[in-house]
Amino acid sequence: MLKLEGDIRIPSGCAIAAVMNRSAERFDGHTIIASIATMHKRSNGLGGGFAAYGIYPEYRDYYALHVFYDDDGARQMCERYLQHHFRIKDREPVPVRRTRKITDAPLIWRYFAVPREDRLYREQLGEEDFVARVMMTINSDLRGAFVASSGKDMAAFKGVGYPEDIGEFFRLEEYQAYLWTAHGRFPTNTPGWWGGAHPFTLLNWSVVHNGEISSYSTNRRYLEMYGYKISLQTDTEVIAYAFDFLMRQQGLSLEDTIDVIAAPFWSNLEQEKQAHLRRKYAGLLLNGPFSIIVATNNGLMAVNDRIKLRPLVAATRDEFLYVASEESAIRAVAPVLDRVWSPGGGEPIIGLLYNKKGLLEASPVGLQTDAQSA
Amino acid sequence: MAVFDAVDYDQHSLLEALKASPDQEIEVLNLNGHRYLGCGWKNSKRLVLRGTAGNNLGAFADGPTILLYGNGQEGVGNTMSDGEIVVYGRVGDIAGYGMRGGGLYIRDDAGYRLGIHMKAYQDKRPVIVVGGQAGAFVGEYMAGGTIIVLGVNGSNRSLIGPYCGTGMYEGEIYMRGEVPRRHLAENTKTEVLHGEKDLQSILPYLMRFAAHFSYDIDLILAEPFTRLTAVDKRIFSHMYTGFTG
Repeated sequence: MLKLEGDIRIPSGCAIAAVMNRSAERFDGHTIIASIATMHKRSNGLGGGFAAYGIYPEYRDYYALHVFYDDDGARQMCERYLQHHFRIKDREPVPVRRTRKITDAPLIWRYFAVPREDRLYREQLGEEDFVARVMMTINSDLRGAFVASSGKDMAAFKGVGYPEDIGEFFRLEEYQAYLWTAHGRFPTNTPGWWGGAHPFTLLNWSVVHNGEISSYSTNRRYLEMYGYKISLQTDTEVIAYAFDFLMRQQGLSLEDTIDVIAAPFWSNLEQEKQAHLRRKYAGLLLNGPFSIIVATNNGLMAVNDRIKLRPLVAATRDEFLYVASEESAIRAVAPVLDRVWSPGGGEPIIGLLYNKKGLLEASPVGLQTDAQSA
Repeated sequence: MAVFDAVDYDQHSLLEALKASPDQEIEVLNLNGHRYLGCGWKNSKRLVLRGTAGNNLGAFADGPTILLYGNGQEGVGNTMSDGEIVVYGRVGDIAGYGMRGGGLYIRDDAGYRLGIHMKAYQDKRPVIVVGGQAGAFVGEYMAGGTIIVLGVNGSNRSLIGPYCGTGMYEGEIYMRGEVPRRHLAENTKTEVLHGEKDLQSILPYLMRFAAHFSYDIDLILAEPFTRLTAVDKRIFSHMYTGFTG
C-alpha cells in the first residue's frame, strides 16, 4: 500500500560543499568526498556531483568537453557534430570504477578541443559564445547526448547516486585540483537523472545549489530571450546561465550581479544603483530559498537568498577556504580552523585565488561601460 | 559517568547507545554533525558534548542539562520544554524555535530566526541568552518568553539583524545597547533600561549567563538595554476575522 505522508520521513534537504586553496596548490579528490559524505543524510541517492578546477593543466588551452551518451549511436552522432565545429586534440572515455552502488550509468566521454577557425568566422561569434551555443544545441537537440561540462582546465563529474559513491565511481582521488565543489541531491519537483544532477555548468561556470528557485519560469523566459536553451529539467540550470549572462555577456561586477539575483527588498534598497539593477534585470531575480556556490577557474562565490532560508557556513584555515551547508562537513576535513562564520542573506562569501581580481578575467569593454553608467 | 566516542558510532547507533545508558552523567567525545542529541529526553540527566553537534540538538528536550563544548548547527533547542542547553561556541539558524520552557545559553553568535514562535504558559517561561550577535527575524511570531542578545563578545557586526519582532504579540526581547529602529518590526515599542534596578526581572538570567561563560556581571550591566515588546496583541485579527475587538 502507498505510504502516506507521516508514515515515512526523509530528513533531507540537499547538501553543498567547497574546498579551495587560494594559492592554487592542488590536492586530490579525497578531501571534497570526505566533506560532502559527512552530510550523507541530506541527500537521498538521486543525485551527486563535483566540479574540479585546475585538473587538466596539460590541456590548459583546450575546452574540456565531458559528454554523457545514452548509447553508442548517440556518441557517433554527437562526435560527427563535434568534429564539424571543433578541432579535437584528444578523446577518451572518462575512467570510471564500476561499483554496485552506481547503476545505469551512461557512456561518459571527454574531448579536449578548440573551435574550428572557419566555423568561428562563418558564425561571426566570439570563441566562448560559439562554444556555449554548440553545447546548448547538443543538450537541447541531440537525442541521447548531453554535455556535463565545457570549460577549460575544469570538469564536472556527476550522476545518480550519493555524492561519495559518485566520487568513487569517477575515481576522483586520482585527480588534483585547487578548487573543488560538491553537491548531494534531494530532488524536489524534478526528476533525478544523470543530466539533472549538480553541478550545472556552462563554459568555466559551475553551480551547486540547495533550495528551490520559485522564479524558475520567469528566469527561464528571460534567459531564452537571449538565446539560452534550457533543457536539463532542474531549476538550478538557470542560475548558471544567469551568471554567464550578467557577468560574461553584460559585464556586471560580482557585487552588482548579487544585487540582481538576491536583490534587497524594495523597502531596504539603499542605493539608486540597486534599484536600477533591480528594474533592468527584474527577470533574473532568483526568488525562493537557496544557498549556492558558483565557481570559475579564478575562485568561488557562495550566497544565500535574501532572507536566508537555507543553511550556509564558511571557514578559513591558512590559504584554504571552506564552504558547506553544515559546519560538520568542514570540520571533517579541517578540525582546526582560523575562523568560522555564517553570512547573512544576500551577503556573499567571495574566495579568489591570490593573484585574481574577479571571477572572470576581464569583461567586454563596451558592455562594461554600459553597465557602469547605469 | 559514561563516556562515548562518537567516532565509534553512526548517527543512529549513537542515539541508541546514549538512550540505553543508565548513567546520570554522560559525555560524548569527537562529535561531528550527529543530529538529534538529547532529542525528546524527558529526564534530568547531564549530557556533556564535545565537538560540532548536528541539527536539532536538544529538540523537544524536557528536563536534561546539555553542555556543548563546540558549535551547534541548525535547530538547537527546537521546541524544547524544560532543562538547560549551554553552548560554548556559536549556533546556526532557528535556535530555540517554538521553545516553550527551559533555558538556552549561547556564548557566541546565533544565526537567523532566533527564538521564532517562542511561547510561554503559566510557569513555563523559556529564555534564550546570546553573548554575541543574532541574525535577522529574532523573535518572529513570538508569543511569550524572553530573548536577550548581549553583544559582549567583541563582534563588530550589528547586534541584531532586520525584521526583529515581526508578527510578535507577547514576550520580551532585550538587546544590550541601542538598536536602530529600522531593524525593528512596526508593531513593537521600545524602552531603554539602565542598570540592575531596571533589569531586575532578567537579572537571574544575566547572572546565569555570566556564571556559565565567566563574564563579569558589572561589565554586562554597564551598558543600557533596549527592551522590545509588542504594541498590539492581536495583530492579525483584521486579516482573518474582520473582527477587531
